[in-house]
This record gives sequence, C-alpha cells and structure tokens, in this order.
Amino acid sequence: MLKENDIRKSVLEKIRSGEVPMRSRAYFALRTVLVVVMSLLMLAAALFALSFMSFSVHESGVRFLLEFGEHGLVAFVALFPWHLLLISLLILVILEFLLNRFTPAYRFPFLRTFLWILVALIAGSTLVGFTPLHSFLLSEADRNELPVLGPFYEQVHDSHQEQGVYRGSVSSVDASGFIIAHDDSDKDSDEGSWHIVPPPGFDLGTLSVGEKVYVGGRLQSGVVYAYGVHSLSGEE
Amino acid sequence: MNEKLSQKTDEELAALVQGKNEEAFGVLMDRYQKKLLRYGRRFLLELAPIEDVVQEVFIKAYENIRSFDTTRPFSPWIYRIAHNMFINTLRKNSRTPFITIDLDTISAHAAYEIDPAEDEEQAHTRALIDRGLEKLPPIYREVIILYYLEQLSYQEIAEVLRVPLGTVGIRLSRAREALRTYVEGE
Repeated sequence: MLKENDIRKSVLEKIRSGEVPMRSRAYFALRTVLVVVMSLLMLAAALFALSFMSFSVHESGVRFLLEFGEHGLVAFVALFPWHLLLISLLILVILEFLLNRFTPAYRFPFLRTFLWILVALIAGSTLVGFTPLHSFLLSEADRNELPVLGPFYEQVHDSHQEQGVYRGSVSSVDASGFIIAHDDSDKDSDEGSWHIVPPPGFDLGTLSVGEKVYVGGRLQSGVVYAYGVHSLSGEE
Repeated sequence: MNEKLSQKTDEELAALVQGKNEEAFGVLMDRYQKKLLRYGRRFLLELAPIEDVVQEVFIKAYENIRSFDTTRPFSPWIYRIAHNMFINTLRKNSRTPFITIDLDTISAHAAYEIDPAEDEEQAHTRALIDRGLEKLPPIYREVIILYYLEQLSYQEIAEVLRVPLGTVGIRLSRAREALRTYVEGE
C-alpha cells in the first residue's frame, strides 16, 4: 500500500519510465469526431424511423381507423407501428446520454434537452415527409429492388384480417354491398377477395369499380360487416 | 526552476504539462494531493486505500491532460477525474449499489446559492457534517464535501458532477435536510 508522501514520487517515476503515456491531441480530436459522427448517425436513424412511422400510418390507411368509432380505435392501437416509435425514443435516450457524457448538454435538465431533441426530430421528420424519399423506397420495395428495408416497406400495403382491416380494389358493387380484391404484388396470407356489407347509411353510389378502399369490419360466414369504409382514391 | 513554476497558475502549469513538462506536473500534484486525499477520505470512508486511488487519479490526469482546455479552470477538471475514480471505487467495493440516475437532473430546479444571511445556517450545517456525514448516502455526501469542505462553488460542483446548476442546489438542500434528520434521530 502506497504512503501519502510517496504518491508524487511514484507517479513521476511511472511517467519517466514510460509506464504512463500521455495521450495525443489527435486521440482526443478523433474521439470528438467519433462522438459527432455517432450522434449524427443516431439522429439520422431516429429521423428515418419517425418519418417512416408517419409515412406508414398515412400510406397504409391506419389513420382512417380513427374515423371508424370505438372498433376502429381498438384496431388503430393494434396496428399502429409502435415499434418504430419505441425505436425512435430509444435512439433519442441513447443520444441524450451521449450528449450528456461528451458535450456541455449536462448543464441543462435532462427533460429539457430531451424535449429539444424530440421537437427537432418531429420537425425534421415532418420535413422528410414532404420529400419523396419514402414513396421512392416503397416503389423500389414493390419492384423487389430494395434490399434490407424492403420487407418493412412491403408491409405498408398489407391487409390485416386478424385485426378486421381489409384493403383492396373494388371489383364489383351490388345492392347489398361490394366486393374488394387485395393484391399487393406479393404472395402472402393477405391475398384474397371479400364481400363487404357497408355500415348503415353508407352511400354505395360513391364507389366505383377499380377504386381502392380501406375497410374496418367483422368477418362472419365469409362476409365482412363493415363498421367503416374509407376511399383511398386521391390518397395515394 | 521549481520556484518559478510554483508562481504559475494551475492552467499555466497544465499547459506546460501538455508539452511534457514533468516538473510542472509535480507542482500540480503538490497543489492537489492534500485536497484529493481529503475529498476521497470523506467520500469513500474506509472502503479503499485512498493513497492508491489518488495516485490513479494523477495518472489518469497525466494521460488525459491534452484533453484539458487551458482557457478553462483546472480545478473542476481534476476533481471530475477524482469523482469518476471514486465512484468506480465505490461501485467495486460497496455492498449497496451506487445509483447514478438522479431524478433531480431530469427536470429544472431553480439554481439558488446560499446567501450571506444564511451564514448562521452554514455554521450549524458544519456542526451537523462533523456528526452525520458518514451516514449520508454517497450522492448527498459528495455534494456536501465539495461545497462545505472543498469550498467549490455551485458552478464548479456542477462541472465536477456534470449535472445542471439547479440540481446542485436541490441536492445540497436535500443533503442538509438528511443530515439534520440523522443527527436529530441519534
């Protein structure tokens, strides 16, 4: 065990013998660059996840479920891309810790910097929403030309029968309702056609063959009794 | 040469150390050894041989001296290294986990310094420190040591602990309250 009077001598001996090297300025400069690059990458990832979440809710039609009453709200909660929101928030928290550790951000309360970054992210993702980025990536995914992210984009146009949500094009309209066919250019479990009985008061005259619709309803004996129908024409 | 070095400020000495002047580092060690030993002894209590820990603080300081901005005060910088080292020592040796997530850093608190009118209060607190410091949880013990024993300002403590200024105030206030409770409960 070291004695109090020996500390100075012991440290200087270690320095002089080369046992304790002094780190170069380049080391610290590189560390700063790494922190900046890491922070920017994380910010970009959070921005991408958040803007994709907004795009996905908009493009998939999930947002129309909010117009479909109580049943729609339940389906909305089930189909909302919470994982993207969680990923964004997780990145945000990591980013916050990174900034607190390596920048003077610690001078401000955690909640304040967290909200600043969150507001910046929401503003940024809104701006990304105005660009054709996600639409372009979606069309690439539809053509099977988008590696890695492709499956995430392909599911944007899925139907979700298990949650009572159907997406498709109107193939025929009759007095009792209409038939929709779903085809999102892939071969998975959501392919098919359904006979839809619209909710009371729905004007079938507003529908035309070929029109894309978003339907929330209960499947009973091969017929979907809809509690909400929303036309996607002009939305996509 | 040592006489000339001893007239320099901490920051001037640190600039010389950055140019590998070992004597200048020796003078810095002379200036901070007693302070860091005192800080460590009161903070770590008997958890680890404090001389070894302080030696490690100086070694870390030398290794990283080029990350120090010589236009800023040196004292919070070296206290920050000591703080990190002491926390690591606490974590390694303490049976109870040291909690690093402090809810007081999450939201804003008013950053109020104790005003001179509270001098009497300070004297009373010092008496309480002598009797109850060891019973305080580390998070409160440390802020009491830095403010009352090491005489660091709120700003310097905020830099050492890397917390908002308001958090220093609220921690000190809670620490004083806890001290009062412990001592009065004896």
